[in-house]
Amino acid sequence: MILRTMATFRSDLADNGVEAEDTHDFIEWPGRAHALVLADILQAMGWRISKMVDSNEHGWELEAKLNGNRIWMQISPIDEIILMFEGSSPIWTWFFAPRPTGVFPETLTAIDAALHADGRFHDLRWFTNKEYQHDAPGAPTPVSDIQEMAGYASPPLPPRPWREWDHPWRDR
Amino acid sequence: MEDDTRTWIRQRNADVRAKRLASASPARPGGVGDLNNSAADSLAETAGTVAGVTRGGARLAQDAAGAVQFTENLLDPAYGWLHPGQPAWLPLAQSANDAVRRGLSAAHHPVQSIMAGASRANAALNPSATPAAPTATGEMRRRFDIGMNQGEVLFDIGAAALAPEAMGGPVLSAEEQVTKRMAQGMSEPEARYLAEPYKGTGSHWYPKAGLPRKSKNAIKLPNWLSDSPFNVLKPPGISRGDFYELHYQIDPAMHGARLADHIGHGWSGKKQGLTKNHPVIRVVRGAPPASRATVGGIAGVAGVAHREGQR
Repeated sequence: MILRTMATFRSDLADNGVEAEDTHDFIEWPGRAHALVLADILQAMGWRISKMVDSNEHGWELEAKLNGNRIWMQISPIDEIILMFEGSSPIWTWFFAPRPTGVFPETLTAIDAALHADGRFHDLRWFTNKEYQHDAPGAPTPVSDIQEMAGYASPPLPPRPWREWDHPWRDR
Repeated sequence: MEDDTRTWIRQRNADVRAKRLASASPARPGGVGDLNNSAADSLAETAGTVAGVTRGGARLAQDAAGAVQFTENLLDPAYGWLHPGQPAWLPLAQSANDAVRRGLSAAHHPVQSIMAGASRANAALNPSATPAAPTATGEMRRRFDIGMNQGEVLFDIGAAALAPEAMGGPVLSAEEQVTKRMAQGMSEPEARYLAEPYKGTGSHWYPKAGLPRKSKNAIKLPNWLSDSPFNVLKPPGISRGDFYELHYQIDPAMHGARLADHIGHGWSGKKQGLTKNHPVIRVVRGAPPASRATVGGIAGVAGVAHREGQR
């Protein structure tokens, strides 16, 4: 499974921040309006918003929690809106399940559906960090199976050869 | 007869002792010869070196009201109330920056410095450059002083080597910056806006969200340290455009920034053709000067310890 944790889209939502009149420095950076939209989406899914902060030139940061899982996102309105997600799960799950674990893929899929359903947002594309840095065209959904990627512009790497220390408990 | 024999034996023993001393350590002019390479001298020089490094470190705090005052400030619950807007770490951070600059002035012009005061520097740092003291205690004192000078130079250069941007480098004037950015294809209002001084919060070396980022139990720094000059890189006098470029390269979560409304669009590092630095380079470039000075000081001490271990 490939999980894409960055997204870009165009938005009709006004989100200009607040500027000082004389110096044009931002008193409140743009991104708050989009952070509120994403907070609403997460809350509708049962997540509890634990933090929403103005992070200066980064944009806005949002953090939410649900049943021991945590999701962090950064909303950077530049010319288009750039979203960055990071999910985390309780540390014990790191040792008993192949990553990515928990509700993170489902949450990204639900956010994708909600943004598509909202008429104010357009051209939503999902990327891995590497795809974004290398100007890849992106994918329409955040989660892809490797088979789905066959016709994709940047083909996925071949599966890594099995190594004994990857999952030592499986063959004992 | 017996007295003559005793005198002869005493004389002979004295001759043998003098011969042994002369062959073990030939005397240098004005010196005591046998004491030049003695364990006591080496010990004195080592102690001096360590004291010198310590003196370099202590100067960080002394310059700004002293280490004791700094510790008291940190521990004093009323400090924030008595000094609104001035955190307890501020004096120490300022003096760390001063130390970096001092070290850089020594490290930046090594050739000129050495040529200008070659004999003075040689005398201060090289035990063989000056005659040994006539007495054992005098010689130990001399070697201690030389070791102390060596230690202090080590501290300053070690601190300076890790903070090259504090050397200043070529700083473009506002007009030159505007010309540079217009040559990159930007409009004049955009170039002027980016040439203005950067007034934001800077770039955090250790992420505010903590590490490891994927962990629910990420370790976070307390705010007073996270937002201190030991963790925030914000070069003094840097322009908005230069800081955005630096920030884009060293921070994986920085993609660009919205510019003021009258410009109408944002600044994107990717559109400027910039690339992210390798993680190792990010750690080095993203380190604030105050932290580099501290690491440099520690490296100086480690260098001395290694050198002394090889002796």
